[in-house]
Amino acid sequence: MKTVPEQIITPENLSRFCYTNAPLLKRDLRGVILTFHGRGEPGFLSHSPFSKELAEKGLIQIFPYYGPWAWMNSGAVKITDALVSAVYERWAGGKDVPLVCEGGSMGGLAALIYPVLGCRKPAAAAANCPACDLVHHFSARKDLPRYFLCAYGGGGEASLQETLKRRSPMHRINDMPDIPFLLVHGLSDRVIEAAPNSERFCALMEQAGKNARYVPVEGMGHCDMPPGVSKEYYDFILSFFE
Amino acid sequence: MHQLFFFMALLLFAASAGAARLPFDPNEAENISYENVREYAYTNADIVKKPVRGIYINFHGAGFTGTIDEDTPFAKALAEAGVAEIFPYGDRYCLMNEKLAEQVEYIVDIIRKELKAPDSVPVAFGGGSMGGLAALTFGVFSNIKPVCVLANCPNTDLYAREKLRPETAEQHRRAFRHTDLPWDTVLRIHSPRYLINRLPETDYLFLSGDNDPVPGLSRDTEILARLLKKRGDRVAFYSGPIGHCNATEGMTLAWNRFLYEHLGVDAPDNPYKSWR
Repeated sequence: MKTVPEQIITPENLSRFCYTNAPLLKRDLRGVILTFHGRGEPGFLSHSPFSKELAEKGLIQIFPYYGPWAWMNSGAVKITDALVSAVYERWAGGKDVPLVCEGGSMGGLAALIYPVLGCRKPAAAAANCPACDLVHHFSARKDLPRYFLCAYGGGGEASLQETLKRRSPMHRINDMPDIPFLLVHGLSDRVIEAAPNSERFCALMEQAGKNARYVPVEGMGHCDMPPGVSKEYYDFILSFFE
Repeated sequence: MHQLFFFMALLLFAASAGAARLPFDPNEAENISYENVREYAYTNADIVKKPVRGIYINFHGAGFTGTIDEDTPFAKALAEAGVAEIFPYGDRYCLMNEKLAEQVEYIVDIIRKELKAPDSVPVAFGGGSMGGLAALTFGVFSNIKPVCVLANCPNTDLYAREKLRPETAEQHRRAFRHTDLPWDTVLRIHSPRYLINRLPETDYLFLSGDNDPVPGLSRDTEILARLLKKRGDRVAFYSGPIGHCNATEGMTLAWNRFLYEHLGVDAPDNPYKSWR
């Protein structure tokens, strides 16, 4: 049975539920980049030089409007699944083109956990200053509990603690697929600290025999990648498309 | 001369015999009760005035291997005010970590139950040097929320410390032998400096020595204090021309008053001089 988002979202009405450069695509689809936004993003983006460049390369970008405080709750996952399915249905022509997910901050969390929760396994995932440990992140700042309660307090879920663990990359190491992960994190990030998040996550992933590369950046704050690092980050993403 | 040797032998015996220490073997847990808890921690619980009005968890510094067999003036004054002191006996270099925090909580729980101290009784953490580190990170790894944290010349950055003093590596490895994550990561995820957002939101008091011979320690303490202040915590910071952990009388009085005020009890008329 189709989920509610699957019943509503179609290739024709995509732009109501995500930003996408799909209308700009003028060649065969080579791949899909799923970009997850951070907390508080109000949505409704328009085409940028970057998204136009991606379209020229045959790459569709999907930027789900999944909610400013979603923290990859079940609704956010279903919406994202429906968007991905609609894009593949219309533009992939039956081909299994690669999907790469990426995002920063809360979007970074989404990029790391979507490979576990989503309907389509990505070829790779990249995250910029992600929250990796939701169990601790819940009480890391005064403002955070209300966001998590909004995301997960809607009922039908297990206890909040169990829900946080289920969506916390740090607690799902064994379920992470065997794909390359890249985590960039600013060492001056005071919003989401590097050591107990990206550094620890990558160390545990390596211990579990999985492929996660940690790129700590001196002097970088929250999600504020300097040009050289930004290039490395996007080169990583683009390297998965032929 | 014979008396000297006898005395030294006695000291050696006292140092080697006796107290079990944290971390304990998990299999021991069910055998720990109030009757034998003093093998794992000093406590003034037997003399504390009831009802208990506060709890002070006091963490020792690196190298401490002794036991506290007599109630000190500090402990007696706390007891008089209705404050239970708990001084866990850690391993010689037991740096605070998740497992150790759980075990300290276990000991605290046993004493709390015996004293019938409900969860509403305020708890403070304090310590010097490695004990200062423990006081800071205990709040990260435990479920107990302190009403204040007091740290005297604390070690706040194990990673930087090891770089400046490679001889500390062995101590660190002993403390964290339960993990096989990359070493630099282990040091960082157990250092207050890298866990600002996880340190409990509470009031902090720091003592710092301008002449502290431990490289970088006073500077790092200042940085941590500043970051906590920026985060919105109330931070009292006292520095002076002292070395490592040897607080002046003024600093000691400030420390004691801070502790008593935060526990909501009256300080004694003549506060004891030792902060311990």
